[in-house]
Amino acid sequence: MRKYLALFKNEWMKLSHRALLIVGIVALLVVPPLVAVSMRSSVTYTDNSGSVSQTPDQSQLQELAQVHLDELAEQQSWYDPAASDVYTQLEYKANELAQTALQSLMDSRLDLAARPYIQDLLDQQARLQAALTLAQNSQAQGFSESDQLSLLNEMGGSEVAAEQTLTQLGQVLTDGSFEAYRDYLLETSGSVVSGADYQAALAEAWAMVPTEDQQAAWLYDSSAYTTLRSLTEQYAAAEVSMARGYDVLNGTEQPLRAQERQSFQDLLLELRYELKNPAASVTELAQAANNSDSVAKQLNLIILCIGILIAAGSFVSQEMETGSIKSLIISPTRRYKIYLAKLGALLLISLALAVFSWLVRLISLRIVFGPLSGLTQVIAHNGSLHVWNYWQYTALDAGLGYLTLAVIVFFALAVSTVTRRTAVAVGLTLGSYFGLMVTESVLANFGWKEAFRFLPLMNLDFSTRLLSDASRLMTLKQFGSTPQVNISVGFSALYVLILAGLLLWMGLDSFCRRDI
Amino acid sequence: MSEDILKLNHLTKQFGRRKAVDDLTLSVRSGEIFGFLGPNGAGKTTTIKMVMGFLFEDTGHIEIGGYDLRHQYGKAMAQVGGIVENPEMYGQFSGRQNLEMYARLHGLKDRRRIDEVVRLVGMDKRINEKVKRYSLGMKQRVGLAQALVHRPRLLILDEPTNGLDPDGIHQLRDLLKNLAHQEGVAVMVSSHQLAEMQMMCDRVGIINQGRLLDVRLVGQAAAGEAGGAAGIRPYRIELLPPEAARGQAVPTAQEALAALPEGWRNLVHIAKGQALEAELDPQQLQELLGMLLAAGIPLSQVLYSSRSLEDLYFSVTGGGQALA
Repeated sequence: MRKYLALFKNEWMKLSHRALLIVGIVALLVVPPLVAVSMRSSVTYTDNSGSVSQTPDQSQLQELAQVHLDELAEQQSWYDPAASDVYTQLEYKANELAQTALQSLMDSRLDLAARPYIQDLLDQQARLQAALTLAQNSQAQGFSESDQLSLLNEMGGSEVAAEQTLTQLGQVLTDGSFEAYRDYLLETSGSVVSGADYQAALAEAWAMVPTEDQQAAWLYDSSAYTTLRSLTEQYAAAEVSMARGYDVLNGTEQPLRAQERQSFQDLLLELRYELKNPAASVTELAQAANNSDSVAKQLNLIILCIGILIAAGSFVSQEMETGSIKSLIISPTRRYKIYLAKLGALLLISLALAVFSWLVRLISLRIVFGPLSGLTQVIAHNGSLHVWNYWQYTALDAGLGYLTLAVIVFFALAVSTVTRRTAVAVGLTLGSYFGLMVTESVLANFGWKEAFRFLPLMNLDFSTRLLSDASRLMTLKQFGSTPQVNISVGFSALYVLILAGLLLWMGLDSFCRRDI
Repeated sequence: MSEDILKLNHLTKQFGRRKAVDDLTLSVRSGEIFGFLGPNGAGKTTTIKMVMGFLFEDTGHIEIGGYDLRHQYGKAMAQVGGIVENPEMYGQFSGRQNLEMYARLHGLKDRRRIDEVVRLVGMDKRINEKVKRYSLGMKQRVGLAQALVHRPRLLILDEPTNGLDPDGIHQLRDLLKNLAHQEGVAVMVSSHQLAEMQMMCDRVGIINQGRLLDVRLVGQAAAGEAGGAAGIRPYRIELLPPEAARGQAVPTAQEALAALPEGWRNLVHIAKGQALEAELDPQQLQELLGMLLAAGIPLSQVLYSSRSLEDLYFSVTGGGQALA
C-alpha cells in the first residue's frame, strides 16, 4: 500500500505540474461566469420575488412595453409591404395593427401595455383585424380561392366568428386583469384539445395557480406567462389522457400501458407542485439561469473531456518518448502497479476538476442570478414527490458527468500505452471523441437494431443519457428504465463496466508485457 | 571472498530474426568494476536493459543479489541502480525533486541521503534548478546521484562519461573505484572509451554479435593477479637500433632469437620495432638478459610490457575491419 501511495504521489506531481492543467483550470473558471453574465444581460424583467408590491415603476413599464414594440417593428421589417401573396400581406398588416394598438395602450394604460399576456391578446386582435380587412378586400386584391380559405381559417371559420372573438378580446383587454385573461383562455381551450373534460381539467389547473393579488411574477414576465400557459395545458392534457386511456399529450391513440399511466401520474404530481408554486421557477430570470447553467455545464464538460483526453493520451507515451519511464521501471515496483498508479492519479484529478467545475458553476450562478431557489428541481417518482435543491441536483449531474471522464481516462490511457506516441494517441483520442459527438447526434433517432450496431459508440457517452434521466436515478428505485431508447441504464452501466475492464486489460497488457 | 551480485545465465534475446544476445553467461562480483565492451550493436545495451527490467529475456535467467529477476522482481530491483543510454529525468522538476521522487519509490524518507549523494556528484549548487536547464554532463551527475541514492549493491552505468568534462570523468573514476573497492558495490560499466575503461575497470567482458567472447582482468588487477600467482609478467626487451650503433653492425631481432638456446626460443618471440617479448618471472628475466649480453647483443632498454586493452579488444573482436 505504501508503494502505491509513493507511486501515486509521484504521478499526481507529474499531472499537477503540467501547463495543461493551468489552462484547463482557467478555462473552467472563466466559462461559467462569462456565460452567466451573457445570459443575464438578455433578461428584461428581472424581479423574481413574485410579489405584487414589486410592480415595476414607470420607467420599467415603459421598457417592458418598448421591448415588445421593438420586436414587432423588427418582425415587420422581414416582410415586403408591396408583396402580392396573402401570407405576407397578412403578416405585414397584422404587425402594423399590433404596433398601433400597443402604442395606443402605452399612451393610455402603460401598466397593461407592459404585460406579456396583454401584448399577446393585442397580437391576436391585430391578426384577426388584419384577416378581416384582407378578406373584405379580397376581390380588389385579386386573391385566389385558396388565399380566401386561408383567411377564413385565420378568422376561425367565418367573419362572424372573427367578430365574436374580437368582441371577447375587446372585453378582456378592457378589463385587463389576469383573471379575465384566464377565463378567456378557458373559454377558447377547445382549440387546443376538444372536449368538456379538457376544459374542466384546464380550469382545475388554473385554479391551482395563485391569483394576481398573490403573485405578480407572470403579469410582467413573458417567460413566466408562457411557461404557466404551457404548464396548465400539460396538466389538462395529462388529466384527460389518464381519463380517456390514451396519450393526448403526444397525440397518440394507443391505449396507455401501466408504466405510461404511472408516468402520467408522476407528471401530474410534478405539475401540481409547479402550478401551486410557480413564482420563482417560471420567471425569465430563473429560465435564463437554468439555460446559463446548462450551457456552462456542456462547455465545461467539453473542456474537461478534451483536457483529460490530452493528459491521459500523453501520460504514458510522453514518458516513453522522453525516456523518463526508465526511472520508473528501474524502481523495485511491478509494472502493473505503475500503470494503476497512473490511472488512479488521472481518475482523481478528473474528479477534482469535475468538482471544481461544479463549484464554479454554482458560485457563478449565485453571484450573477442571485438565490438559486427558482431552480429547485421537482421530481415525482412512483407516486412520491421529491423536491431537490439545485446544488443537490447539479451535484448528481456533475457526478454523472464524471463517469464520462472516467471512461475517457481508461480509453485515452490505454491508447497512449498501446501507441507509445503522443501525437498518435492524442490524435486518436480527440478524433474518437469528436467522432462520437457527431455520430451520437446522427444516431439519436435510430431504432434498437441500428442502435445496437453502434452500441460501443452510443454507450461511451452513456452518462449523458443518465443526465437526461437524472430524475429516475435520484430516487434510485427504477434503475431499469430507459434513458436511451431501447437501451436500459442497467445494461448501459454493465456495458461501460465491461468496456472499462477491457480497456484496463488492454493498457495493462501492453504496459506490462512489452519491451521498453 | 567476493560474491557474485549479478549472474546472467544463458541469456538470449532476439529481435525478429536477429539475435541481439546469444546464450550469454557472465557474473559481476561485489567490489569489482566490470567493463562491458563491444562494438555498436554487439548487445551491450540489450543485456543491460534486460538486467534493468526494460526488456524481457527470451531464454535464460537473471539473478541479482541472489534474487531471480522474474520471480522476485521487487527484491531484485531494490539492489540495482543505474543509467541506461542517457540519464532521463522529468525536465519540469528540479534535480532534487527528481531525486525525491525516485527515493520515494525505494521507500527512502531520509533527506540527508539525498544531500549526501548530491554532494558526492558535485551538484549541490545547482540541484534546485529545473532539469530541463541542465547540460548533459549535469544530467549525468544527477543521474548518477539517482542511481546511488538507495545504496544499490549493483550499479550499472551505460556510457557514464558521456557529456562529462575531464574533471568530471576523473571524479567519476575515483567515485566508482571507491564504491567498488571500499564499499563493495558491484559496478558494471559499458563504454566505448577503451583507455578510460582500462584505467577504471578491474575486469572486462568483450561482447560481439550477442556472444560473450572473452572476460579478462585488466590494469592493476591483471598485474596484481599475475604477479601474485607466479610472478610472471610480460617484458619487452628492445635491442640497440642501427641508427644508434654509430656505424657498427648490430644483430637483428631474428639473430638475437637465434642466439638463444633451443628451450628459450619457445618462450621468447619477436616483436615489432627490433624487440623481443616474453612472459617471464624475475629469475628468468635475469637469465635471458645474461644470455643476450653474453652473445654480444647490445640492448637499449627493458620494459614491463602490457598489451593494451585496445590490442585485446581488436584481437578479440577482429577490430579494425570496416563497419559493415
